[in-house]
Amino acid sequence: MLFNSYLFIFAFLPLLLAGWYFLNRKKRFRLAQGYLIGMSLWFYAYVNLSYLWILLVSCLAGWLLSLLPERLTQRGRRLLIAAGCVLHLGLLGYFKYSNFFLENVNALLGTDFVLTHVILPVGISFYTFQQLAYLIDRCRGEAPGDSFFDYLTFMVYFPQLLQGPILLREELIPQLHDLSRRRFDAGRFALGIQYFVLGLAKKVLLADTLAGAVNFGYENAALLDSPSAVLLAAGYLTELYFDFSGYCDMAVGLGKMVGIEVAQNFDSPFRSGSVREFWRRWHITLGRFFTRYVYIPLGGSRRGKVRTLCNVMIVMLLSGLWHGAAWTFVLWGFLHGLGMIWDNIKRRELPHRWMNRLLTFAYVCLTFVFFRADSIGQGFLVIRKMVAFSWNGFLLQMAQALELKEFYIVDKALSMKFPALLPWFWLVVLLALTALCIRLVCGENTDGLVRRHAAKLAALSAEDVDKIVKKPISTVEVGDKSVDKSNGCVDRPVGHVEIPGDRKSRRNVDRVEKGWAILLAFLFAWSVISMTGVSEYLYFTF
Amino acid sequence: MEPAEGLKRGDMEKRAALRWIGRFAGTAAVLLAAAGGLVALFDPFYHFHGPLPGMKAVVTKSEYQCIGTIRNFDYDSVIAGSSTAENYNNRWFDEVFGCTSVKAIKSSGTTADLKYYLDEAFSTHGIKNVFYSLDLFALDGDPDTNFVNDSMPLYLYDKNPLNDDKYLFNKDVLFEDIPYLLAMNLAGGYDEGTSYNFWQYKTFSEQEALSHYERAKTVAPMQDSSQWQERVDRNVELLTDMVQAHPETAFYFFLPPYSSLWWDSVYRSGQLEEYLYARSAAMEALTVFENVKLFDFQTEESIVTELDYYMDPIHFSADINRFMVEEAANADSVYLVRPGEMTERAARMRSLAAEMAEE
Repeated sequence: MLFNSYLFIFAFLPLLLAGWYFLNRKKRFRLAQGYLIGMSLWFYAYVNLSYLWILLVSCLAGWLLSLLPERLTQRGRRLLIAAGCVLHLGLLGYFKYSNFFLENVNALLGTDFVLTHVILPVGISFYTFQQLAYLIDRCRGEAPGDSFFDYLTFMVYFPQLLQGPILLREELIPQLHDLSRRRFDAGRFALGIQYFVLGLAKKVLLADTLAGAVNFGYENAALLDSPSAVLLAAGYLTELYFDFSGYCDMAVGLGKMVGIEVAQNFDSPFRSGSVREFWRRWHITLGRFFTRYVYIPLGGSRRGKVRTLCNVMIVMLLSGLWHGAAWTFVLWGFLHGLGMIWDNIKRRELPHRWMNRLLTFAYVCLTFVFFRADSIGQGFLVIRKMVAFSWNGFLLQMAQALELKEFYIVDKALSMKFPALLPWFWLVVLLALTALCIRLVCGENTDGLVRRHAAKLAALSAEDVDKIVKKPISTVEVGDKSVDKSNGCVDRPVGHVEIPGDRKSRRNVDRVEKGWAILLAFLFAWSVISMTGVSEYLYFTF
Repeated sequence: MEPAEGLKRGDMEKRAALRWIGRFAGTAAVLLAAAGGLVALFDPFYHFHGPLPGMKAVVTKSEYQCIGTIRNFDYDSVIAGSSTAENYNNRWFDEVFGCTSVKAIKSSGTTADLKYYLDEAFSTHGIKNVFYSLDLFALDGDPDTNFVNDSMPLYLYDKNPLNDDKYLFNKDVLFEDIPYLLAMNLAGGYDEGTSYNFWQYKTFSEQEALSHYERAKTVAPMQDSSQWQERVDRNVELLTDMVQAHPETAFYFFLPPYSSLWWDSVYRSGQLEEYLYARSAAMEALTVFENVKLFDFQTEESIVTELDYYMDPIHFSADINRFMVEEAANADSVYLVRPGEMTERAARMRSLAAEMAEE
């Protein structure tokens, strides 16, 4: 089931929340958790029931392995990790990489192995890594054992099941045992709505719109000229960002609505001044997985410069392969590895931070050309078009592929009265959209935006309290301060907001908050009416 | 902070949050209700009701609008067929036969596809006439296939009100279909009879027809009857079953005049025998019923060899559609297939097809 579907928004979510809070209110905590599992399995199995059995078998096997560490010696635990890798990565390898492997064997050895028709179970790359992380933490003695009930909840909890974030045990399971989280918390719920709506708008209004022009560009790559090729590369990266971070925002929002929260996966990646920083801000939980479970065990940066750089490259190649079974992804990972190695060895920074950001963005854009391309050849074709300094007007065609129904009347009117102006009108729309995207990716991110408004709202409440207790308060600190020590995925303090004590200022802030609610309601309604042409998420294929 | 004060602050924060949720939910509900209300009111796919009083029915998207018009319009006759029936003007039938007609169109539709629409029409209306464009390729379709599949807007076809949200909260409908409906009504001059017509956007000429025909360089071996006969027979049976089930309805079947290019193409693809058989089988099976009139325009040499009537090998101009309607109203029409003519018509078609393929 997709978050951006009518079924999810109008049926699944209301049913889930009603049942969850009702059972918890009746203190039927185990039943509530069972209900959460059941609904999550429905959410997962909705598209294809056969995926469900793979998920359940994988979880059962993963949990059985996780029971063993306390009974084993150090060496036994290492063997257990190896067994876990064979199990989890074997399953992933069969579904995701078997055809890629056979293709390459056939190409290399001239053999004729028949490719198998294997459908990739959705989410397998994510839950495989989450289970591996759990098992390794258990073997390291960093995580206590859990019942199958808790383990299954951790693995199938619906906000993170299909596209992550890849969570650690201590991020989620302690929340299941914290009964205060089972109570409806209006403040947290309001935050959840805001994350969800902003994520939904990013996905449906921005990513899906950009997809029209981007897909058209890649389908006609041979016709690209330089400006369209540049815009294509930037457009795809932006589309991917809004697509995936939109999903992650929705996941965070849903976690807050339920009360069992999930980690942030993005932190304004386009503000990065280096590729290394980019990976601290983009798909954070995947980067964390590779750092904790691959990079550090390989020796990290403790064994000299050369070994460090090799470790970086290994991690990035694996990251590329994780994203997809194709050489385009391997090359993409390699280029990111090169970028990180450059960050390690470079002697000088550019004089201004914005220059580093621009350079990083440009480099990352280039790498993502291969991420999207059907083949390495197509990737190089797009890059060749970029540097050819040519113009054939293809940008105008790309702009027309946006097909925004919001402008249907203008489109028809122009096509009847001034047909020659039509392509230029769409170019203006494309450029305006590009400007909006640049503003959004460079400005405050979802997290900051939501927290700022939450702080204002709480400050207003504090002012109300002031009136009651007759004691002036102008500064308040708001937010749940139960910060989880390991990851910070649970509410961080949202900071201070100062509201001048006079009535006019307070009224203004109140008006802003009212406007914020109305703006989000408008975005929500706009997103809902834009969901008919439902599109899957790009990361579903990874 | 005193505990009592803390409690107060918690309460106030909760109240502020609830107020925020209320504002959000209230506004979202109003906006969605407005969007859904507009769609339900104008209903451009006629899913809930027919045209509003004083408004014309603007019907241009067959897969979205056909089922709604069949269920919710007032009519007593159905014009059924594939794209060869799209260029009829409903009014021609209405004037000639004294009826009120609606179209049941499926582009490249098979017999089973069209039967789905006709069954729906029979179940919701008393039907006086069915005007059926009997395409030969439709007789070659899968008789078991129901065209209402996942690629279609299922929410318009099933009778489940729970999935109508896909129609009610739909940007395309709001920003495209409703404005188009209003524009067509406000601009004036829109002819309701031209439902699904496309002729006005196309060019009909020999040059145009030839530009859409890529002649196979080689002639494929003729397909054996074991490959198609059972399928064709079952399609014909779908039609005879329908005719038998509705003796109160007059069925007019039209064998549409495909161009000489089409006959050449089926000859070269090895399908000529199949289509000749399909023609004959349909004629023989259908003309035995008293409530059936079958008109054969495929042997009209002056039409099928004159490529200026065509935009491609199959699609002819609206003038031909008009001609067919007029002939259908003519009791003495030479195109009306009468019992006892089958052998002669089959022979004529065979020889004409052979001539056209050789040219």
